[in-house]
Amino acid sequence: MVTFGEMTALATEYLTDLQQQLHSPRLHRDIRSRTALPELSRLTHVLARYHDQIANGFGTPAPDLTGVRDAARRAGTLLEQGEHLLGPPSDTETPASTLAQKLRAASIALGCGLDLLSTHSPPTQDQVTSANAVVIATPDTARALLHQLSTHTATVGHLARRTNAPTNQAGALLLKAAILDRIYSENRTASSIAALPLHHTPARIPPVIGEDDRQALAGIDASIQRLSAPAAFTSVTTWRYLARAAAIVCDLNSKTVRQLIHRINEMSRLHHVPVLKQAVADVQHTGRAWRTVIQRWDGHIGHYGHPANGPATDAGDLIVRLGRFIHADPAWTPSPRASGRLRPPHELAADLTQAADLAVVALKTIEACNNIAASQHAAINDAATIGVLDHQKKHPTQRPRVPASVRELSTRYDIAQTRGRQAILTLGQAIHNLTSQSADTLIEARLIIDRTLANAEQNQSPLAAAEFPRTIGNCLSKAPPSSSSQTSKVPTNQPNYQHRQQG
Amino acid sequence: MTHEREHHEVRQAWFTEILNNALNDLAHAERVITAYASQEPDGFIAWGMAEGEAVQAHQALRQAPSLRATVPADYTAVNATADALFELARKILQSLVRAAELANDPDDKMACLQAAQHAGRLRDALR
Repeated sequence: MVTFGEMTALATEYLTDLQQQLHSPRLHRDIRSRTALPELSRLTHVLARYHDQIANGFGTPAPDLTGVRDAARRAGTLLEQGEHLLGPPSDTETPASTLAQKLRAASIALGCGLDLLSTHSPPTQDQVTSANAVVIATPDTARALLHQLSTHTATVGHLARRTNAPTNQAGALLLKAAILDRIYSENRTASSIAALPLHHTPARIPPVIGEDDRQALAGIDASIQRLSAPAAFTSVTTWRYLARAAAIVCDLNSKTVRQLIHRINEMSRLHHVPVLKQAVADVQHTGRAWRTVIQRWDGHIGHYGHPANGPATDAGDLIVRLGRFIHADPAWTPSPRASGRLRPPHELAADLTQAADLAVVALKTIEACNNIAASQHAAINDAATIGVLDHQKKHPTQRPRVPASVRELSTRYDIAQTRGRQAILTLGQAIHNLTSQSADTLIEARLIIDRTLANAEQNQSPLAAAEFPRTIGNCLSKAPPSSSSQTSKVPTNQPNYQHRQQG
Repeated sequence: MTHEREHHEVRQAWFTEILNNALNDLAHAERVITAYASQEPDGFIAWGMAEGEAVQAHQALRQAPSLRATVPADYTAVNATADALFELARKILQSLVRAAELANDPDDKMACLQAAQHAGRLRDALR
């Protein structure tokens, strides 16, 4: 599926092409033709739309204290004035000149990119914001976007200046906007939102025996996306099942990472081992936290039966696929009769790149568990309602109140989520060390880490922070000791978590 | 009239016995499965789902009103395991004696009877 990064890269190609031809006589002639102006106006309009969205934080209500949004608003106003000077945007179906065609192509690619981003943000306030929406709305993302936009705006500005009077006045406005963008921007070449595809809930892909790795990964992705659509959760039976599934997913993941460690040992890349070992410990920790959630649910009398609805099926699919991915038996299922024999390490990951790919699968599925924990509020509400009703039945004269067991359940979900975050950060660090700076895997991993951090900042519950011995802030400001020894060896690969915490 | 009441009582006694046996077996199953599921590192992967069903089955059955009336106050899962294993040992003993009777090879008879001897002691140990 096409991503935001691919779309904007395409637009950049077209615009860089134009930028290089700025001084050619041919462009000089073309830009003065009647056909170019409406296309310039259209492209300016797309750029103004980007600024407008950044200024509004893509519809996410979180306040911005960095001034980036304000800058985007001011630049956006300049762009709108420029657009006004350039005249009505093009509405012809086929642009006449080569220049017009290039401008049109850039408009379409940039516009489509913006639409891709917008699918992640809720159209109305009362809908639940997706995990990605939070990342898109962060100041970091805004700065990275402004960096790209400043180059594009400057190109359009230079083009506008070469038009006839009076439209050439628009050039100065656009260049001003470009400078404003540049001042507030930050060059993060591999911004994590580049990995974002169109936001939608895919259809279920039922697992079949004998899938190849590519099919299995596609299936895992589908299950994860379906699980992160928060509307579908319904009943106590589902909650109970999902908690159990999350514990199994964590255990499978720790098995996967252990197998990776074997492989890394085989390849004698011993300096990667300490972080991975820490990741195994963190993932196991998360699994144990989930088991305490299960114990709480098991204590809830009533609501028997099989969860026949969507999320449970998706979680089941996820377990089966994840299990078959690492086990030797192609028909593996999570049962006592299944063989626990794993695929040999060299088959799971031939080289470091594949090892990183495998680790990203683990990272994604841990995030899926965290998404389940994050949507706990619905579960807690279900449990609280049941608790209050039961209490009313036994003591009809007393005032209804939320039972302690429900608050305890809420705390346990929070702990599971906090530990899940820690596991994601450690494993993310390991992936960072395993891959080269520009790899797609790394961008994907960084998106997951950014999402985790952004959501932690937004939703971090003081209750969970008090329960958990180390708060997220603590974990971030002190990098794990095992990884700090890596810094000297791979200086360029260190993600700058501390910076993001302060920003 | 007396005949009818007798019939009802027999039926009730039978029902209670079956219910209690089922409850014991479920409690035993839950205990064994939970023990396997809590084995590190991979126990939960294999036994986790089964544990869920066992727990739910046990909990669900305990809601039966007749059971609430008849379950003794000192009922614990440990007793359930002892009961279930006692029953298992009794059955093993029975089968082994029967097998020894049917066996043609003296060595088979020998093995069966020796095993039966220990199974009998196992039953006594669990009493």
